[in-house]
Amino acid sequence: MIGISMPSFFFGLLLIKWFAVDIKIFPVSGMLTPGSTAVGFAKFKDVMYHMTLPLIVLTLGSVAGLMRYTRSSMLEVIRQDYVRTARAKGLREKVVIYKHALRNALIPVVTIFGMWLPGLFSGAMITEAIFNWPGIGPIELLAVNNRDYPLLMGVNMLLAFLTLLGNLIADVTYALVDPRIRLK
Amino acid sequence: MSPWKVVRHRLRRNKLAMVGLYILLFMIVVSVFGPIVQKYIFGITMEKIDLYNISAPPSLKHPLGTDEVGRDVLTRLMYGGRISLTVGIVAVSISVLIGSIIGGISGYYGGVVDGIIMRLVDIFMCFPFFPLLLMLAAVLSDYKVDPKYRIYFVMLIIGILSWTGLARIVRGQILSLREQEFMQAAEALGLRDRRKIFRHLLPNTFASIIVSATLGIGSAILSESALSYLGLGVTPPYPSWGQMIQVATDYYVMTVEYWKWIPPGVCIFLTVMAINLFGDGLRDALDPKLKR
Repeated sequence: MIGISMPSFFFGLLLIKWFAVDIKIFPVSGMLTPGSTAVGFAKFKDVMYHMTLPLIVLTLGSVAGLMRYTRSSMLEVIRQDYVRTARAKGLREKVVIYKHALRNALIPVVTIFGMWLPGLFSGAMITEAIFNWPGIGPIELLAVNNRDYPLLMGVNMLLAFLTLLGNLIADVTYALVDPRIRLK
Repeated sequence: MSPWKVVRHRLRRNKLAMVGLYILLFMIVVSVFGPIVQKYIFGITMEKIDLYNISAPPSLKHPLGTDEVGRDVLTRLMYGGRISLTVGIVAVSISVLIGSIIGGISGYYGGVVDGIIMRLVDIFMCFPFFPLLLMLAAVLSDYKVDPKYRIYFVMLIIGILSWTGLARIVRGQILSLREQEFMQAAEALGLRDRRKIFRHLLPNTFASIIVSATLGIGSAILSESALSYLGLGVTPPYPSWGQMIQVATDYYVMTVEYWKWIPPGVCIFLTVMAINLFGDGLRDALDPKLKR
């Protein structure tokens, strides 16, 4: 609940203030330490180190949404007859929940992953801008501020295409995880 | 008991939802009456500049300090609350209006009409919400819209971009409601289509409309604040919560002058959380299938 109510920019700024400014354990922004010439594994480590805070912001945001979906779908499933049957068989509660209920509850959730595909590109826009992460987000914001319409249209086009692709993936995975669904 | 009494009773037992409701009421009361109190009792308005206290930390005179030109942060917070809440409510009203009418027509007529409208909705849904919002807001800046009217345009844009989900929900429900007996009765009475849709079908979808509207207000406030944070939503001199956080892009403000940007952030967070808690509680209370 906290995750979906927190504006990502405010959360990002708070994290920067707490972890990067006050106790100085994470870098404020950027992707690499300035002037770094590291290659290979050292570079990877440096990037991961810089990635920590934005990662926390993005994960908290999406985990919260996912949890809500799972919860509502779980509430739906747990009332089904087969869950009662499983309980009546004398299975342990853990098995009933994780094997019988959760598996079925995850069916609608799986499809959401497909719809996340455009979100991977556009959803992180503000977070990227705050952490000065050189991704597609700051580019688009820059384009907005400079009224660079061709670039904006290009990015939107890409996102629309990804949405369609995501929907397609969602439909396909839906059929994959739920054997009841077959194309006629 | 009447159905609404049952709902109210269930809602009252849900502690989280009630907490949400109280926070929300508090926010509304403070942002509606707060500025009046500030203006007539303390003599502080949104634009009043206190030249002796520029960027002053919280003190007795200014409980939340002042901003970079000496305006009282608490007062601006209240005005910002007015604007943010109004944007949320108006944007959602617009989207509910469009969504329920289009969903109603689409679900009632079915067939070709339904096909065309739903494909249109699909097309609308393909465009990622936030980048499109950003672009439209940027166009507003290009046309140099007066900040006074800009707020209304922002409401309009958010409303127009977010009706699709609601239209789908309403359509789905009306498709099944259409087949029920009371619609045959309405048919037998020879009612006109418009009356059937707006008097007999839409009121039955009221429960899901109100739930998605409540939750929609939360996300509208979030969109508005993100937009204003980027400087494309509500523009100065009018404050909004998102816009007040914008000063934190300055490193010095972010690290030292915390009173300028933490309170509006907390306000957004609390309000949106309250709305979500209340909306969730409302959904649980309105769902007759859920008996716990």
